[in-house]
Amino acid sequence: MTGTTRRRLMLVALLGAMVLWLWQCTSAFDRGEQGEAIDVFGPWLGDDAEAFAAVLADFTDRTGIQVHYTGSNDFDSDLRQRITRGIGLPEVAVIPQPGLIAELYARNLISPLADDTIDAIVENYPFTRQDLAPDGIAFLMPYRTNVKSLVWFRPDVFEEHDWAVPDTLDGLHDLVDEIGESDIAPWCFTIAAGSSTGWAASDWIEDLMLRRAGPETYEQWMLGALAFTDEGVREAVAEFDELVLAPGRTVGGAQRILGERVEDAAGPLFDDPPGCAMYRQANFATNWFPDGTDVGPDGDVDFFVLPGTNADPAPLLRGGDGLIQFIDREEVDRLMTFLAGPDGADAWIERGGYISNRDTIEIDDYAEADRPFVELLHERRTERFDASDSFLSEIRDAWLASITSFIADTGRLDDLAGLDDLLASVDQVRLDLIAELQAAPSEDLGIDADAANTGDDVGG
Amino acid sequence: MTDDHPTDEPLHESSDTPTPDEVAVTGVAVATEPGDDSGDASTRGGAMTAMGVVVAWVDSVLPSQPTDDARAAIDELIPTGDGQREYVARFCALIALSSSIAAFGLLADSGAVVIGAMLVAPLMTPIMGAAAAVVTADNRRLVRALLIIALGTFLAILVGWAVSLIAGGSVIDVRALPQEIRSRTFPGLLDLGVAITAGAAGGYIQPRRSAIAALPGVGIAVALVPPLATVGITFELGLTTESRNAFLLYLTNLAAIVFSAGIALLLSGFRPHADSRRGVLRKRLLVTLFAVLLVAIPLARHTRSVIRDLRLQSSVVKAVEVWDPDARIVEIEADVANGEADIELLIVSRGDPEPAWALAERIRERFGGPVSLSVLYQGDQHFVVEAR
Repeated sequence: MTGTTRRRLMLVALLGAMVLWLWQCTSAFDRGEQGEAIDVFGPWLGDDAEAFAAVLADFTDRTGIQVHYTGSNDFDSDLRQRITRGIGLPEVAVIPQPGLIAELYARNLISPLADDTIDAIVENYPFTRQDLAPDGIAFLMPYRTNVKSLVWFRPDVFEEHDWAVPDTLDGLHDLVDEIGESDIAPWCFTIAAGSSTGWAASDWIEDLMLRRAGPETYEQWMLGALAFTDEGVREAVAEFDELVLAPGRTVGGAQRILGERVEDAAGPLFDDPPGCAMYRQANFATNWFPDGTDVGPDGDVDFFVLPGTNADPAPLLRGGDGLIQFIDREEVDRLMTFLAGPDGADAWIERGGYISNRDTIEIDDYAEADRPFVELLHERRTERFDASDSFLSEIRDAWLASITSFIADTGRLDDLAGLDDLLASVDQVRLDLIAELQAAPSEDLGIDADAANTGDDVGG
Repeated sequence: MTDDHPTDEPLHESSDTPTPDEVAVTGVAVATEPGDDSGDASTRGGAMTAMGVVVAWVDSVLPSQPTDDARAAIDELIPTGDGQREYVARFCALIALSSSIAAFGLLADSGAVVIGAMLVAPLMTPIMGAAAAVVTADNRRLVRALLIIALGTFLAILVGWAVSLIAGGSVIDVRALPQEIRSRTFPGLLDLGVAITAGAAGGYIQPRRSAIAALPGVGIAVALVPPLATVGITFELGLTTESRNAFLLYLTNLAAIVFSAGIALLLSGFRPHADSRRGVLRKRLLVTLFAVLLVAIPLARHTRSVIRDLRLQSSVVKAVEVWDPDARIVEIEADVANGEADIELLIVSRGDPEPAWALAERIRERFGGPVSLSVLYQGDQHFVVEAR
């Protein structure tokens, strides 16, 4: 064989190797599934979904059971659609809305938790078996909690303008007026979220109502026992309007409020110069901040708890995600028990973005960035669960749609004309539903106490 | 065919030593000896194989020497001696003007202005010079051409940056960049295809003065200055990722053009100037090989990623067909990064949308890894789903 032939053969071999390499690079497309994977459905996206997938991968490593997670920004309407259109339910669902759980329960769709899972919850959470399953049956596994009443701001911007963190709600109004005199809008705020559009506005109103009307009145409202036309609700909406929706209060005005996704709201806070000075959102908002954002008094961004009517520690609005299972299958039971157990969130805790009221996790075990939120939980402030998440779907939908249409129609609640009609129309939905439920056997649906108690458990 | 390179002959005396022409064409091994075009494959190592016959045929078809005119056309690309200073000055002026036109055009989102900038751009000459120098293993020319390209690159980015400093205020929201800029921050296979064919066209046209009228078209197709202006603009706006992507687009275009223009020049008969001292020759060949490798690495990386993206894209299209037979994909963007698929779709269909999560799960089944999907349905309903 001459040198030329050898070189030609080498060329052919090289070309062949390159083709194989390219093939190999893309061969991920051809990997098949092995075994029957558990199908989990939930609202988590982005970093949350990635972190939860890491937890599931941990489970798969230990058990060999494959799990697929699918997340959707239109989660609750997707889940309802799966039920109504008979597309087939997932085996496990992550649900942030106790109201939705109550509905699924009423439709007899939820499968009870296995005994091992209940044991794991009792061992890891501050619940007794009696709390969780008075008649031996439990349906909801608490998993993650979050703190909602946080106002994010940039310490450097506050310092530059000599703005101080307020210690009362009235002080916040003064601060907003002061910021309004600068080139920076007081708030970053947007509400677009698919069929849940409006939840960010509802959170605001809930936080204000919890402070002004007090936890007892708030709880009545959350449980569906207080009319939407009540003065407490009305005043909270009016205060929200004045504080956040009034002209010049929010960067980008009504167009941005309605057009941008909730996840993108904080963008202008990080612009230079900043587009807004403050951003009220739960601790999970850190997932939506630009990569590498440092949180803390000396960091890029810091937070304060939305102040109360006086300088005492203000109450906290809480949210949470619980898990339910739709099927009684051994592999699913093992997954639920693992998630409730001591290692069931390790991979997420390590990545950050996970807090819970498990009493088997010490504060130092949490990611450093999450510790301030855990400390808040440990302060034992008055806490209430997110009301709109606790409403039954029909009430929730009517409530969120009404808030959204108000912002859409007027850019703000113009002189609050029409507010009474709006609240009356939402309340009619509530009254109709109560009438409907009273006509049905009472144990079918716990509109108030049952639903609400379930709600408290989600957050812990 | 003239035989004005008699020194070609000794190179064929020893068949065990790689001859420059053989290495430079990475194995195509065309004959360079005049009169060797008779297809006498039987005298060669590949005589008994089908490949031997093909090689012999290629040998017989290809010109073995460029004409004097063609050689002159290539030599004139970058003047030497007295003309050099004037050339560099002219080059700098044209690149600054071209980049500034491109930057204003990009910021104004005007495709026509950007095309105008491409016609003014002088980068094609040093790039063709570099391709010719690679093919002919002329190190001195290669270094000169590369220095001029580097100067042009730096200057074009600087001008883009400066224009953005002055006029960048027109970009109100940096996350909503003009389409002309955005399209230059996502290099794709089509860009690569354009660069390869445009480079080949350049390599074909440059030595043929009769075809020189087609050269401006090559300049437009190659479009090197707009990505450079984009690098400058995005850098000034603080968008480092976009800036890096635009620079990657430029580099891969550059590599692809040098590579394909080099092939075209080779096919036109350009070969290394032979030298009697074998050591010097070997060194030149090493430099040539190094340059080819340098070109091939980003090209291969790029090709690998665009092939993956294309396969993902076809998975998405197939999944959509099953998901909703009435659906029509208006826009699709599909990238694979770190083993995860990131897909954006604009879809129109009839009636209520099918659930987006179901589409994500279908794509996950085909793709075999995590899928992040954003669906804009009928232009007003926005669904974001993930399947892991």
